[in-house]
Amino acid sequence: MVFKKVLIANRGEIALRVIRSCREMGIESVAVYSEADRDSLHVRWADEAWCIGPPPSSESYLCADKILDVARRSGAEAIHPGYGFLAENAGFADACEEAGFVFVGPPGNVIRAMGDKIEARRLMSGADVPVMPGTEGEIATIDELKATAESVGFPMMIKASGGGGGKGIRIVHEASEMEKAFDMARSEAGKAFGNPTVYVERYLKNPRHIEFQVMADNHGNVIHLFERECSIQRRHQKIIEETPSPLVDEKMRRQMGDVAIRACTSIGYRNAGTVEFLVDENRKFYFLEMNTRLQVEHPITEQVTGIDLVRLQLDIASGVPLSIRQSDLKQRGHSIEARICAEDVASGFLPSIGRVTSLDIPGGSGVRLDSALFKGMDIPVYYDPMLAKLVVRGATRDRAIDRLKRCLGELHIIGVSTNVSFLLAILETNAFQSGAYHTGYVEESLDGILKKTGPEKSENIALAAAILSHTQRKHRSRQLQGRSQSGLSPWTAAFRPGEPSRS
Amino acid sequence: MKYYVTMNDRETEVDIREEKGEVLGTLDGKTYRLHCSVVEPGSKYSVLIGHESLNVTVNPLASELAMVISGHLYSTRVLDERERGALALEKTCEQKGGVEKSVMPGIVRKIFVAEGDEVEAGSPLLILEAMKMENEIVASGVGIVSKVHIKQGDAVNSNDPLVTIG
Repeated sequence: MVFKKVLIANRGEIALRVIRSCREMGIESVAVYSEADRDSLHVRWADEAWCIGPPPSSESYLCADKILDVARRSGAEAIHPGYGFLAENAGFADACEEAGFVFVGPPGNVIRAMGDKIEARRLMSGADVPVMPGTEGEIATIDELKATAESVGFPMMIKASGGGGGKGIRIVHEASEMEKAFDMARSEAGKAFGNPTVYVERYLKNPRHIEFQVMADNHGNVIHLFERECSIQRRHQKIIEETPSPLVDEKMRRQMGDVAIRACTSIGYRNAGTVEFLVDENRKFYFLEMNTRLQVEHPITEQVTGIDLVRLQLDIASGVPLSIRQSDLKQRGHSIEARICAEDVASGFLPSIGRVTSLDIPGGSGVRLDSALFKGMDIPVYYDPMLAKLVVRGATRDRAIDRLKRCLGELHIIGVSTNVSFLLAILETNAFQSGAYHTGYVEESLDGILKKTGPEKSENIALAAAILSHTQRKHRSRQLQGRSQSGLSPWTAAFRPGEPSRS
Repeated sequence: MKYYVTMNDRETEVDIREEKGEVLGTLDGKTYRLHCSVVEPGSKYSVLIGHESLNVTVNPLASELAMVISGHLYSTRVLDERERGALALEKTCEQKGGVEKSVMPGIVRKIFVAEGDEVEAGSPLLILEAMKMENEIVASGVGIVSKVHIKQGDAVNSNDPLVTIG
């Protein structure tokens, strides 16, 4: 029995993503929004919209009580958390179930176990999932750390048990750094995650990040939907993801897929999840962590498998058994996602805020743009700087790259600075083109990537720059003239026949 | 009208002129027919160079002229003759420190300081008229004016000392 009404406890593009599947399934959608998001698309697209508080997420999107209250009053049967905010909050998953709502995700105890990185390591090694050499449990004293260093070796990582996603990590290169790193890691972990517990793992320099999408129903069936290569990162944030991975061959795919399924089965996993692995230069893979939710980059999996993951999530949450078997699944073609962010690349990737005054969206065959952007939108300061996910599919990897490049050229977002040209420059590096890249690549090669120049002839650039400046100057002087002659505001006076007005 | 386009530290001169309703641009002795249509003021332009079509967006937030063509960013700086002269003047003042020199021929219109005056970086020193524009010359650093080399109405050449700050 599929749901009649689902509440989406999120905002932005992921809220739209869930609303889209709900609408196709004939499920009514309930949006929640902060005061900053009154005009946003998720409010406009949903069947119902409820305000849950002031702009800061701590007073709105992170308030479990307010969201549950809306669920009760709107008559929703299930709550989809999207990603971020409350998506990996075990207490919220429990609270939903206790209040009689279906949480579209795994049970709270599974979220809790996977969120505790020490516990996750323990459970995974128990299920014969390869984990990085490191400690069995918590490292509480400097003596324990010294003893561990002998078996793990240098370089090693001190990681926060409550961390994840690359946060709360200290790398120790030699014995003399240990004491300081240990104290700092503990104090940072305490501040950032409210839990100073740390553990140790061997540090891999420049690994690849390859993850497997899994889907598990409530009846013990688990499938994987192949890998996603997410090694193009900056500061532990994924920028470009692709599937299939240029590194993974059929044999490796089968091995990693089997491990991912075993990991899920052993912990009683349910609904959508992602098993993340680090892969070393000898193609040996190690469990990194499990993300107990839908991922930002899920669309590339949808593009090559043809499966609507959100629809499948909702089916599973309502108790429908998986009807797809592992042997039914195939990767067709190649898909790449580029994350479009509001950031000023030239000034060190500072977030850029402002109003979107103009927007051109790419189109054509094999193109998908998941975004909550609209012309006139104010990019709020309170939330994530990701504006859109540009996803393409091509028959081959080369075709997909060509298509993504073409689409990045068609996408124009005016009013905020974006990383579009930076993404294009990454796609044009030899490392990306050949597929031989790793998680450290972007930062290592940042200067070269930023200096990359486009293919346009330099005389065309000079001529374009000159005629553009000439036109702007003429425009400005006409504005000034108009003002002195007519007394009208410069904007009104500036518009002449043949020039479209800013509307 | 001459424009100086700098890209990756290389300066190119482009001469733009209008003839019989057409806009022509000359670069390295070659002349091109140009047309620029304003699609959205300040941000979107359609440029034709002969029959080559460039769909140009400009990031209005950037300090330089940041053109995006087919997704690629081309950061350029465009100056006209006067702006170029003023910039060169400013630069020389900064670099020479103690002795503020003129970078361009001009006429001293006004002097704001006398020997013994204390100045700080940015204090106006004099007005130099060049290319029919008045340019304010400012002190590049803090100090006491030890010598004023010029007087009002003087014509100066490039590299002539103007004011020494000790």
